[in-house]
Amino acid sequence: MKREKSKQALLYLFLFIGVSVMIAPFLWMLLSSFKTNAEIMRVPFTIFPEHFKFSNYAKVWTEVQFSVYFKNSVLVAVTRTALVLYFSALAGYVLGKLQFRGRNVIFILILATMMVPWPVTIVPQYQLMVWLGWKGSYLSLIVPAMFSSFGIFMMRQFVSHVPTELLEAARIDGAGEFRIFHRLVLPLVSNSLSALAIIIFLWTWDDFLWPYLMIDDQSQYLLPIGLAFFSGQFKTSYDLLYTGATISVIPVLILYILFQKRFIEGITMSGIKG
Amino acid sequence: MASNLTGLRKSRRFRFGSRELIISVTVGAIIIHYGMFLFFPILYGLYGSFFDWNITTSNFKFVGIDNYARKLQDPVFWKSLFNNVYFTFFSVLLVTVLSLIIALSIHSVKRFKTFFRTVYFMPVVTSLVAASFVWKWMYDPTMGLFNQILDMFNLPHVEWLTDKHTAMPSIILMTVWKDAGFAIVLYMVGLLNIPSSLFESAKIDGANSRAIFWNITLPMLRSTTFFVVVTNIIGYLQVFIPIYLMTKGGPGTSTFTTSFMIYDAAFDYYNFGEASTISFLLFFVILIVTFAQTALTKRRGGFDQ
Repeated sequence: MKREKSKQALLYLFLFIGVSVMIAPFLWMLLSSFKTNAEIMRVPFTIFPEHFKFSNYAKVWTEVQFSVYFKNSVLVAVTRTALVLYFSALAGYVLGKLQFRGRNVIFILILATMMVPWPVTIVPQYQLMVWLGWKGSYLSLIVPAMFSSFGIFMMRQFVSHVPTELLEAARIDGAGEFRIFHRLVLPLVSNSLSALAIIIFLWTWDDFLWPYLMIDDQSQYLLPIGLAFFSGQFKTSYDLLYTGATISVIPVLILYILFQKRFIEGITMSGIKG
Repeated sequence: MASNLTGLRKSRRFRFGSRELIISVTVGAIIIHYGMFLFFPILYGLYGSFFDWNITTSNFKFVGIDNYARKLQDPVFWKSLFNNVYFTFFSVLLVTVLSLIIALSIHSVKRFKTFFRTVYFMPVVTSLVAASFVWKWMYDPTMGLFNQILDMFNLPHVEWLTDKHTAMPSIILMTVWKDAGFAIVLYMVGLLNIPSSLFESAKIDGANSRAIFWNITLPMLRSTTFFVVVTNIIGYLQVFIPIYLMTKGGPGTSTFTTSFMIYDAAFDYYNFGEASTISFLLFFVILIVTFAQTALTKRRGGFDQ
């Protein structure tokens, strides 16, 4: 028993050391965002700011336009997530519950596209956007992302759990397929949709290279590009840089801590069902 | 006549009702979307890899296999592949081993399980762009957290991202911090799925905890391990964001990975032909790895969940 106790103590020690390693970068970022630049540069360092300097936030939010980047990011992420959810569910229903010729071929092709590495498509897609005249517009961020192979794959799995008898009953009652999809299938898979929403939202929120290549106008920047642009401009204003990073991390982190079970289930479902 | 008409209407409705409409609209949209935004670009990229293709000068001249010949003789290309393998090997190894150890520990303690899971998963939901910046600043030689901590113990400074020997390990360290939580949660689910009767009967048979780990726990987690290893290998062979934001491939070519090379060729030099060539060479490498893994699992009968 004594051995068991000391083993438990060792495990806790190990895990709490790990916890401090995991949260150290977050704390360092958050605490630095309240310091003056001089204090950040000072050797030896301080852990807690001498005075909490909240004006960093006001400055980054308005003067450096993070409020604009933040709004843009929310707009693009919400639009894209909504479209991906709808089209994933629709394709999941059609490919999962309706029988027609060529269905499996299409599904296998969609699965195969998940294996294509992004470096293969990014160069010709850039050329395509130039041809379409979508470079510099949010169309280039939203339209090519409307169908997500991953989303279709997940939703097909979840729609397949909807009992076929339920759909048959609705058909006998004379409901059309669109009505069945919107009124019956969508509500039934809403739990899975919220899990998928979290994944797609996070991916879009963090998407860097494509928006970076596509968006030229500074007033259209999204948060990650804004942060990268800003770090080039204010190379030595670490107080503002840490504040910018905090603004792009903390809102998502708060959502995560509030709904952590949903987040973890949602994100790992890709791993468990895959 | 009347019955004929209803018959006709019926058969027409049979041929094109809401079922046919939803199928044709959805399948049509899928075909147009994937055709336009994926299959066409892939084929056009493959085609363009045989051209001297520059988007700023609208140059598009057939050069045959010149791009491929040049890249295959380019030591920087081979260095970038080596860097990919270096980064991938150590990141996968560390992520897999550490997350297994941490998941086993969380599984074994009696309290705070949810707290540990929540904290270890935090970096997973964090933006990789922001994380790359924060780690870059923490690696700063003078005001960064790491060297300040070394100072506290009177240890010599490390140059981290600016030394060609430590740059890649520094990026790997950040990657392990960022990604371990995902594998930890997968392993925790895997551990919960092992029937406890297996452990009980092993204990009755007098097996010690080491034997239990090697003979029961690890084999029962095989499909989780396989998933973690495979998805991470494929993902890490394409690593870009931390490289671009933290080192830009440097110092020298010490962190110059293949996807960074593609970016560099395409968007620093607008040499789209060469960039496409490198991307298909990378695609080829990833395909080989994928097929090797599929062959391996078929032989060992893994991935059996």
